[in-house]
Amino acid sequence: MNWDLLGPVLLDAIGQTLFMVVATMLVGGVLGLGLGILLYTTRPGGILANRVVFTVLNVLVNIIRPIPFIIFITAIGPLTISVVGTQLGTTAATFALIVAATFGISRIVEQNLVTIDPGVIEAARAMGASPWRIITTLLVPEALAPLILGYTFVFVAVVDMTAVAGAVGGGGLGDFAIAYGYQRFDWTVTAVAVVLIVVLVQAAQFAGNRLARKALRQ
Amino acid sequence: MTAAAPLIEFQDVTKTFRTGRGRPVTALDGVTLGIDEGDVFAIIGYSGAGKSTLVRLINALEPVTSGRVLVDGTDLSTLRERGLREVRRGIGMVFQQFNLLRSRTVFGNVAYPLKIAGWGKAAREKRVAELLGFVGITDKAWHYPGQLSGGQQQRIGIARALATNPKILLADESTSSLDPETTSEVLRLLKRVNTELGVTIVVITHEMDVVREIADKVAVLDSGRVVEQGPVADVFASPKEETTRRFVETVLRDQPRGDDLARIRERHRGRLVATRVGDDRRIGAVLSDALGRHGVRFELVYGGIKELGGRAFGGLTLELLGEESAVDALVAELREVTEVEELVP
Repeated sequence: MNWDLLGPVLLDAIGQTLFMVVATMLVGGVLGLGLGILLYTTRPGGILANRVVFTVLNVLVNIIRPIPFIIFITAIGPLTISVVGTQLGTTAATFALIVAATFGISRIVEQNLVTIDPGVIEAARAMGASPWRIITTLLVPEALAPLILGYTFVFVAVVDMTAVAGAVGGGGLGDFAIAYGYQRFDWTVTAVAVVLIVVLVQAAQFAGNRLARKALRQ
Repeated sequence: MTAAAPLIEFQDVTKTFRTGRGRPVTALDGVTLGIDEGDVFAIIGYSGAGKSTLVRLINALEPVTSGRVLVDGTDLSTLRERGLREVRRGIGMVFQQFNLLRSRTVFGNVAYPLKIAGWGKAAREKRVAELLGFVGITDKAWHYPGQLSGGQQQRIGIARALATNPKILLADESTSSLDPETTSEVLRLLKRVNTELGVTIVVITHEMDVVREIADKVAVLDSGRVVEQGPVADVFASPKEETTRRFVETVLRDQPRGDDLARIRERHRGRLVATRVGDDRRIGAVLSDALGRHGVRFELVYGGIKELGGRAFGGLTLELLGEESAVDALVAELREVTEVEELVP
């Protein structure tokens, strides 16, 4: 491996991966949280029970979530062009990542909210709490620990998905490993990319576990 | 009937639930009852009788299907969601499973309804301290619910329900998951809420002991219908319905039956008669008199006397020993003062 030549490329790739992961986790995380809460609260018997909204969202999530990301990132091209202006590059890849992550996260959020004791929600209703207040002061705090673990899980999945971004010229470590490692038969380059990804994932998992334990301490 | 309108009034209330594709299930059927201010009103029934549904109509957690529920003169069906939230803030609720927020401390749980009601920080802290003092768990303020016993958790549940100074407290099987000793403690606390704070309490239960210990009035619910209601002593002194009778028997097992009776018979060869005991039934006088006049001796073999709604209730089974004709004469005399049943082998 030629460090003088590949060093700057590797740094760029690290930067691109970090940008894609962080942007996806921030934007997709918030959107996914909102969508997950909507899925949970609009279901029959929920505090915002609404059959139409629930059915539409539920079907939408079920359609989009199972699409393999490498297909999704190309299939969403027209939408990416109309929003980002191009379907190539890191920003375009990030857009696709955010959309995919939003739907994936929404299910994980919904599944964690289901574990909350309905009696506690009833207690809050009996106190005269509005749905918005129940969402912000009860649902999220009560499910915080499993939500943190859920987001940690998603983080790892998003790192995995960024490797596909190379397919649309999005760059990142995955692209780096394919372009300079696999295609040039340079195993050292591949190994470096793998080690970096493993370190990133381990760090995220460690931080997620600690935060979740802190939230669970009660 | 008192002249003032009841604080809580059910007028011909029906509630049906739709369950999937099945036929709608009727939980409450033509319920009419009034709960006066200051009452401790018990609603007793077996599981599935509709008790929990009934109590949830009072704070409009569920809407009625037909009929009206009036709270403090307001027909709840005329209110929109925002108005109902206001009503709910004036009604506290205590649950069987306590339903505390596990992510908040004891302090945070009790302060939660105050936050919802828009109290300032200083006022909240003062009120929570008062409430924790009232229920006797000041030292646990910074613990989490998961670290406390069931009895302590229910005290916090009660403190939380009382936070906003409600006029009404709904207790839904509030002692059903507690052991007998803790149950008594929690019931005493509820009684204090009624006598010291003047809060009207609606208690939902399937346990006669709960009714016996704290209620003034009772309604017996069976398959969604109120089969009997009135002051506790009146309803249980002369139960008219089978359901009521069965509940009375759970606290006053006044007659030996089955195996009990067989065992008693082995030990007592005389004639066995079961009598009812009450304030107005002077069977002691008849019995002490019988010894001299009829030459009949007696032995107490079964039964007991308890207080219910401020009156004595119970039954005693006697073994009567003496001449056949003398025993007959004594039984006849007993029949003049109370119900007597001969337990023939």
